[in-house]
Amino acid sequence: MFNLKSGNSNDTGRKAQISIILSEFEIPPIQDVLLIGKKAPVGPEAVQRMIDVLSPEQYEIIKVNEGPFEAVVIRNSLSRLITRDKLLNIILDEGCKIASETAVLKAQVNIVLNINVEVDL
Amino acid sequence: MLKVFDVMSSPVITADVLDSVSKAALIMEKNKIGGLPVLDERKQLCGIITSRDVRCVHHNRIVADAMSKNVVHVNKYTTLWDAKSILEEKKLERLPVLDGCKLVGIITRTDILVKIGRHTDPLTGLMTGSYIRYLAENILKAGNELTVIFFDLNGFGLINKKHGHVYGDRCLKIVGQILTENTSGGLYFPGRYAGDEFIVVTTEKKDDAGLWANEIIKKIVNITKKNGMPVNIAAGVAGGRRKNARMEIHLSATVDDLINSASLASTLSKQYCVPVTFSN
Repeated sequence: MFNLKSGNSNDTGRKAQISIILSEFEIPPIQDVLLIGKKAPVGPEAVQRMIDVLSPEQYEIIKVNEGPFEAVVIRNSLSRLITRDKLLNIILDEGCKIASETAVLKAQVNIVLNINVEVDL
Repeated sequence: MLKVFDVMSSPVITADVLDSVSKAALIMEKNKIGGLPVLDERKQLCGIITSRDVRCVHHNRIVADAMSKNVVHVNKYTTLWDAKSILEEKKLERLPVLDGCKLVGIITRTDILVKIGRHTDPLTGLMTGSYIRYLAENILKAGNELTVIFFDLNGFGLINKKHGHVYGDRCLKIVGQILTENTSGGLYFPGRYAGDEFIVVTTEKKDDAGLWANEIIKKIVNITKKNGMPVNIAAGVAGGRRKNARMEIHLSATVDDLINSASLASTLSKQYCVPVTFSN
């Protein structure tokens, strides 16, 4: 964050106040799912190159032609918990409700498996 | 035979797959062109980006995200007429030209139309000899019969000297018109070979072609006579005697031979004062 403090009329010089916020760069920066709009500033090819460099073999890019979206990037580990198509349908349904063609949406997806097993005593 | 490499623009102005769309737009604007072939990291053709693509996507994108990926391209030895057919069929404006896997040029619809326009004879409206040769090669390529008829006006040099070149041109125009009017069925393809020589190729057998040529000669004699500018014409017929499918690899050389034989046969027609002679 960078702020310029307006000088007092009695001050002889101008001063700047510097505020720095350090935080960790999130790797990978796209969380679990990325929805890429048809007219988004970044396209699937560029995203593919980015993930190939930053997080190789962790994501899959799926070209779609549904609503405003051109492609969806899904973290591979999610597909081990739920089938890819099922997840894709849910995400696209929700994404289509709020996104435009110029949007790039990232989504955090938490999947909790509830397992009840009965065993004989 | 005109090939793509005779007409293409080379070297080609290209975009890199990782260039920004705005850079590609700038290159197009600077060079006043409507499209750029795109090269990948190995310098191989991987797409094409047009000014329309640029308008349709966000300027922050890389070329890889804006280009068309299934590039229709041609080999540099493709004939102009084949390239024209591809452009028309696929509704495209330009075709990258490859030599093997290497991009060596680009050819546009305008380049082709201008060049082909030069192959239409302005006086008679007939196609030139090179176009007829292209058709002849294609007839052979398709495994069809090919007969070549060569027409040569008798004493045309004297007609020009006696009556002037304007008169001579009128004669040629009438001959061109008669050939056009009598070849509308799609079986005979006429062209002006050179000066006072005309060529017609057909898929008909030589005997039918000979009869057709005889009728044409009669019409030319009658009509030019009616128009007050009588012209005599001789014809030679070659080819059209095939019993089995052709196995030729050198189609161009075969067409050359047939044209030459028909031309020599027309010379014999003149010598022996007969309308049509068949080549041996």
